[in-house]
Amino acid sequence: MVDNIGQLYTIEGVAAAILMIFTTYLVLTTTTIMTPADTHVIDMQLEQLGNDALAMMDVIDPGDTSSPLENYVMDWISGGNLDEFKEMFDDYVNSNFEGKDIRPISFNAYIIYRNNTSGDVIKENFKSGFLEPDRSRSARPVSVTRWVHLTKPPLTKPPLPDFDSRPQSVLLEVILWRD
Amino acid sequence: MKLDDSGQLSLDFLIGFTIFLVAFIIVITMTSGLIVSLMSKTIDYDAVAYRTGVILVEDPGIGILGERLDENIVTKWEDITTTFWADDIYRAGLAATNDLIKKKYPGILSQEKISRLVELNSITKNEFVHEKVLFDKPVHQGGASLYSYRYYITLKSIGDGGVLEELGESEHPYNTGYIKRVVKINLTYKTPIDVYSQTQPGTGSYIVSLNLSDQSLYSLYQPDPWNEGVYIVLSNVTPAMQANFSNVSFYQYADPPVLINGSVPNSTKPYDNKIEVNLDPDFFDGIIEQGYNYYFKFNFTPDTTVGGSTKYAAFLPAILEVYIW
Repeated sequence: MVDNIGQLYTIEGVAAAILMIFTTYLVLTTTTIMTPADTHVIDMQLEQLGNDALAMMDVIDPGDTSSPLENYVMDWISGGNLDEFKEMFDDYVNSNFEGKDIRPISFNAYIIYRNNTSGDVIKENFKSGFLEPDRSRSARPVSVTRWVHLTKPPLTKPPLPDFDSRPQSVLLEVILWRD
Repeated sequence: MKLDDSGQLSLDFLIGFTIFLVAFIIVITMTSGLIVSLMSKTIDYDAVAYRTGVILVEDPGIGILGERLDENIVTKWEDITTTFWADDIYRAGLAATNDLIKKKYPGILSQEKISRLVELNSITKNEFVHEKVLFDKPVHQGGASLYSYRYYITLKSIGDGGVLEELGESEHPYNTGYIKRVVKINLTYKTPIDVYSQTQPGTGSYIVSLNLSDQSLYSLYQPDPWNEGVYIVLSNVTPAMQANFSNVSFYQYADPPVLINGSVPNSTKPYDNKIEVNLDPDFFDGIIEQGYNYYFKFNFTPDTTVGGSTKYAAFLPAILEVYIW
């Protein structure tokens, strides 16, 4: 005699399939598993490279009295452009391209300083000509910072709001990512 | 005969089971990618590459002469030329420093140390870097040393991308442990000087100072004639000026100046409009002392109008890459 007990129907197969695939999809999209191999190391390498580049730009060459980085930041807060900074930083992080680096590194820079009137710490982004990380793509920006010691007061009145005209340290933050 | 369909697969079951199976396979392929990156081998290689990069870039290295550490005969590893150098050199870092223990100048490499590292590594057929930089202990098998890691280290200049030095095996697989460091190389103490005519009245000489007493300078920027020698180039020297050039004398600043050497070795380059003085460290042995100032005097007869300013050679920006597999 034929009966239907214990029988798998098409409709049940379809239901099981949908259930399984939907569950896996949910699990995959809602949990981020930070495996050291695929994220941490790459972030570390990028961070190390950015830190190195800033540190080496902050080295005073023999015979000079200030480092290139200090000069660029001085130019910057005195209203100049950042072309030289961009060119040098780009040289440092993107040279030897044919190595393991597949995509070039993009970057953006911020300056963090004390507002002389209010006493607040202000973060200013110098947008001109810089890119922004494309969050919709796989860009994972990392941030590197360096205290830049300005040994001389800026020459002209700085275009930044209430930037005090005296020797001081400002924090330079550079965001790096691969597009 | 009675027909009975027990033990028979129904078409309904077949379709349902196929759909289930296909979905199951899809799920497996989706999830398998989750754990494949947990493979620990590349993490280890990356860690070793990072460590190697740190030792090369941030550590000046250390050499200890004698048997015991507490004897404290700590010396620069690159100066060790004893028969037992393999035992006396502890770590072969490249960071430039005049100070043995303090790691004052991470990222600035000494050209002298780079040359010595390359030399010792080629003498030992790549084993020196294994032992003194990677700290990779070999397993000895029938006279051959087997190491756990293989390496390729390059130093490339940033400007033109030219390879300055390379160590290890250049043929490496695509997936390796990797680190890239930005460094600057402290070239030997070079003092290129441009001499322009008519900038000052003729004094019959041009003076280049060698100051060994200025303690306010970072020790890195102080000339180190005992280890690096001195290299001076007078450029933009016209043929007429070259014709009047007689010799270079070396004095100690004092009142009156003390003549140390009346005519130091020098050469003129008629085609390049240059006068060069290139002195080895041996030249300075026993004739100069830290804390005093000296000068080189370029003599011209008859009197020639010379003048100019002293420029120092900048550090050379470079990229250090380490591959480990």
